[in-house]
Amino acid sequence: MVTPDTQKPSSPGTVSPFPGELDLIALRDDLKRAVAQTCPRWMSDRSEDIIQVALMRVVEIYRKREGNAEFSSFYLRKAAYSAVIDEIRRLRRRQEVPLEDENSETRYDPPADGPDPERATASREVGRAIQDCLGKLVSPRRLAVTLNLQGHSVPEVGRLMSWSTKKAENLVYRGMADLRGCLDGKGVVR
Amino acid sequence: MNPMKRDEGELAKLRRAFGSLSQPAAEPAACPAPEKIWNAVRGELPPAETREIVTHTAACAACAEDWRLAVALQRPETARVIPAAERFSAGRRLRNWGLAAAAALAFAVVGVQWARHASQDPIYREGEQAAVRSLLTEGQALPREQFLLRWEAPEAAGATYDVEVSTEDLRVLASGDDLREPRLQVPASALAGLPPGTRILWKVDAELPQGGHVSSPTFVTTVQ
Repeated sequence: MVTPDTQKPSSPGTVSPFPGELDLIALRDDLKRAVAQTCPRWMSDRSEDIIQVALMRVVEIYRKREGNAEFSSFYLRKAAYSAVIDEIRRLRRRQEVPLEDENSETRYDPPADGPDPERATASREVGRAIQDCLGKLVSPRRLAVTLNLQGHSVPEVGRLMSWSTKKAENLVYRGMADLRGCLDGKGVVR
Repeated sequence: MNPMKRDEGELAKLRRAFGSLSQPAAEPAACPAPEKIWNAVRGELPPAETREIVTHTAACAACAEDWRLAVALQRPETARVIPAAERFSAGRRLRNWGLAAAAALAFAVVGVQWARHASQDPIYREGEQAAVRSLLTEGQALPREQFLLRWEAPEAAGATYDVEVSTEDLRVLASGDDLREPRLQVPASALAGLPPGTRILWKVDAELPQGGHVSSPTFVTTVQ
């Protein structure tokens, strides 16, 4: 079995079982970085397993599709992403707990800056309020603000929604104003 | 307190709070397939389908997390073509997620430009949109009195350009519509108050004389 840990660059005179397009080490590094950036702490002790499962699936897909002209490193990346999400969803299902269960906070811990539990709890409260307020925005503003909160810039919001940048900017601006108003109405300290 | 700094801080807090929700999906059956989320992030789905997914992520913290993972995983794809030395020096400057995201964007731009000069044939996220190229070096510092943005486009004769210039916190500083020349002078007054070293993002949409349309990636220029 070839795993990311066992695959080495080909030395002269040897033939790697996988051509350069299947750079498992780079793929693993990118997966690790992406998971570390975005996934909550409850998952961090499982991230290596998640990534390993995803990479094994990628290798399997590669073997099955070898020789296909349309095969690309980007396809592999997408396959790895799907595998990671499948695994994360499987873990989420296994850990499923009532949403309002306070004990759940030990399981669904956010990717907080530090270990300060009070700050993390306060942040989650604001997060819930945001989620509730988003549900009250008119649809275009909800889309614009959701993408903005997900870290997308105005030009990206425009591209993703097929809006002009000006329209995206307008919707983000007005939507954020609505969101602030809604949060203020709930007494949420921003 | 500087209002711009306050707004930046507020947006960062809201983003962090929104990202802090990590609940199991309330209705897992309604969650889009991972491939759909991936394609939506890449802008490869019909707008209506993308909107449906984004609407779902507004209410489903689990899928919002999946979306962010797709974004994080797609951005390094373009960063990979950056020479290692540049990546290292840039990486040391990263102080927080906001900067990291902005840097990933910048890497994407540099990556496209660098790769166009190389003989390799990697895959680009915005490969088709790289036809509009900045004539400034990525990250180049310009004096605020002469903040002249310049670019080139295919079929430049007769093309017109829409340009938007903003700060990293999405504040629009200047824009130009239907420009006949591939340049835009950002007024010094628009840059007043920005500290030296502020990164300015700008993007060009070109209407080509034959009726085609090309968009640039987002370029980064710095205030001296």
